Amino acid sequence: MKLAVASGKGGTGKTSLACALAQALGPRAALLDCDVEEPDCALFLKPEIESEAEFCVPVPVIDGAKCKGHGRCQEVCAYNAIKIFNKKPFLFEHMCHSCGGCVLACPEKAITETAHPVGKIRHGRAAGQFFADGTMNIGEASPVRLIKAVKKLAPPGTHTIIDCPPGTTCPMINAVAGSDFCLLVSEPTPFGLCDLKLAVETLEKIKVPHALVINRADLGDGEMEAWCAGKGIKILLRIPFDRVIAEAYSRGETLLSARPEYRMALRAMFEAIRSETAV
Amino acid sequence: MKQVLILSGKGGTGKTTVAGAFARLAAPCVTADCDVDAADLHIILAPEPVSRNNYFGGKKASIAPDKCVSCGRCLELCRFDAVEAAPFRIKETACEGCGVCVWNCPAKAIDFREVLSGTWAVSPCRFGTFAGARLEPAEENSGKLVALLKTEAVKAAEAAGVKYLILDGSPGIGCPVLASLGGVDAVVVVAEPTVSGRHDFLRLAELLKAQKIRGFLLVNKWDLNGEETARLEAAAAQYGFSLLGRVPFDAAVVKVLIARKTLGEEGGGEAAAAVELAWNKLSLELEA
Amino acid sequence: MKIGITLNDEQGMKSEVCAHFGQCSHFLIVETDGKQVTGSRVVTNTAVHGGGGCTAVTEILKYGITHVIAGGMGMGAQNKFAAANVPIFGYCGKAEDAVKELLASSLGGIDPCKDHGHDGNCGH
Repeated sequence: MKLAVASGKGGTGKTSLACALAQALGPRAALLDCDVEEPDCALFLKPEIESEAEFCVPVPVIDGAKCKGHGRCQEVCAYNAIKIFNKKPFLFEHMCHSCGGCVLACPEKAITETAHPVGKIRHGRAAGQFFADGTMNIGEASPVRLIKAVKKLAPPGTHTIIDCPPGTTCPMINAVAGSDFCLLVSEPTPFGLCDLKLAVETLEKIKVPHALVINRADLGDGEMEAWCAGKGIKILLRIPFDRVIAEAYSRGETLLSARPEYRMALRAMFEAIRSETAV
Repeated sequence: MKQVLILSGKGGTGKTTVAGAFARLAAPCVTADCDVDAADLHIILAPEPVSRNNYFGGKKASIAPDKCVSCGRCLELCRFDAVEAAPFRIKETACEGCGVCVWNCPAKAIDFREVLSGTWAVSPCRFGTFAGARLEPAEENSGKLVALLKTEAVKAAEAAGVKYLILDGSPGIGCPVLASLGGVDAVVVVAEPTVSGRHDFLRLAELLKAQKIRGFLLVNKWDLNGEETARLEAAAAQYGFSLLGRVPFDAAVVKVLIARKTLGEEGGGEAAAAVELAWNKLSLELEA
Repeated sequence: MKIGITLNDEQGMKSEVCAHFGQCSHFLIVETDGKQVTGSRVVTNTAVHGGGGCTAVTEILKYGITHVIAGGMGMGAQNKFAAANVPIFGYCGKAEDAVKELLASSLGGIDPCKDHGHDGNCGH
């Protein structure tokens, strides 16, 4: 089963929960950290990294000798990544989406592609469990291609837990896409509820079944539960605010190291999701 | 007019709560919610929009089934896994609007239409003016919308002759953050004293290094870990940040937000007092 | 006036101007009196693969350049040049032709604020 852990709102406990689930399940599950702008899972799971590689995307290279300044490249580029200055193309690399459109469009065949590094991908093992993460280079605009590349590392034959980025648009969607189920983690506050509604709308649009874990469940009001009841969204776990957990987390220690008693509940939750998705 | 942008790197550190508090202290001012992927500031600032404007983020392709000859060229060329075969169909949520299939379809069977990705509005609120946007779920190009919103917010601030434009930023370090940086006079990083908070702060600090923007650090829930707080402050000082202060963890904060108010408006205890102190320090530095 | 140019190889004036700032293998540093080239040399970009092109900017700025010519550039690099007050000029073709055109004042500069690709809306 591919299980994505997402939220909409940042800081609700996605990484905490994803790491705790990974630890509770052990080697029969793999953990992929797809929050490539700010990947934190490694801080908690402390994996032994076996491989680290640069991840590149294709960007255009223009042969100045062949270029006749037609400007077809500028015409077809949907992202304003190529603009004609002084009758010659100038490339705004960070805008390029690597679609290959300019290569196809150039009548002089003056454009080829070269690899442009956007981040690094690592994988290894943590307590016998497969671990992978991606780290986007600072200054890059879009994490999407790196997220897709990390997801490809999911080893066959194991369950996969995907720690997703916050938000409800492209980065989150690409991390969640293709998952059998998405576990949403939120907090029962007005901000938590507002973002949860957006996240649910997005999941409905991409047709991924989902359920909720409420974190810091006693710090808020009852609106979130009421809304979930109305929508028929199951709440699989409620974790009360716990200073012991918060302080452990601040030291880079996992939920289970602070409160090992959650292990059974997490395993049970995972099995419940499995039987619902029949995967 | 000074532009103050609130960032964090890590999500959930308290940007929006601090932005709301600053808006009250800087009133009358203009506030903009640049976290268009998960906008929340309107909940506590309660703007009254008069009208909303449409935002067209990009285009999406769609195949006209009657014209399609099933040659499969689109499937061959699409780099975003957005084409489904038999019958050939573009998956709307995967399509990134690059147009490659459109220009290269031998039967010219693919439509390329602008998509209404969301709406934005500049409206009055009790502290002045509020600029906010709503992105449709599963839409993209948030960076472009952030840039647009900022332009409108700056216009509104100059027109109203206010002293401050407060910008509630996005988490992360990607496009929505990059798009909010231009012309900013100060970046206030709201950070949490945790290992992951520090890790994420350092990446944001690296990003900000290249900009000519003054950085300020505000440590939220500092009392959860005094050692980490000290480490954060040391790291920030190394990057030339000024220390705005420390906000203690305070369960009263949630109650204020549930009441849809900003800190200090009616209670918020020690946390509210600490944020007000931070604002006073910030405004002194900016006006110096 | 000292011009820094990104190169695709180590030839120098005959090299193609490189469009990928962070990846270019060499820089050409050209000294001029504003009208003529008074000296030039090829230097290695030791900051290549520096993860994003930003370290390459610091590298080329060490040579005290007042202008930079490149075939393309990412945002980080553009910002750094803007912060250093070094104007950016775009060129696609041979380095010697780029220098000629710049000296003849026929090269338009790229204003990161307006020509960014976001149609001026990037927020610069």
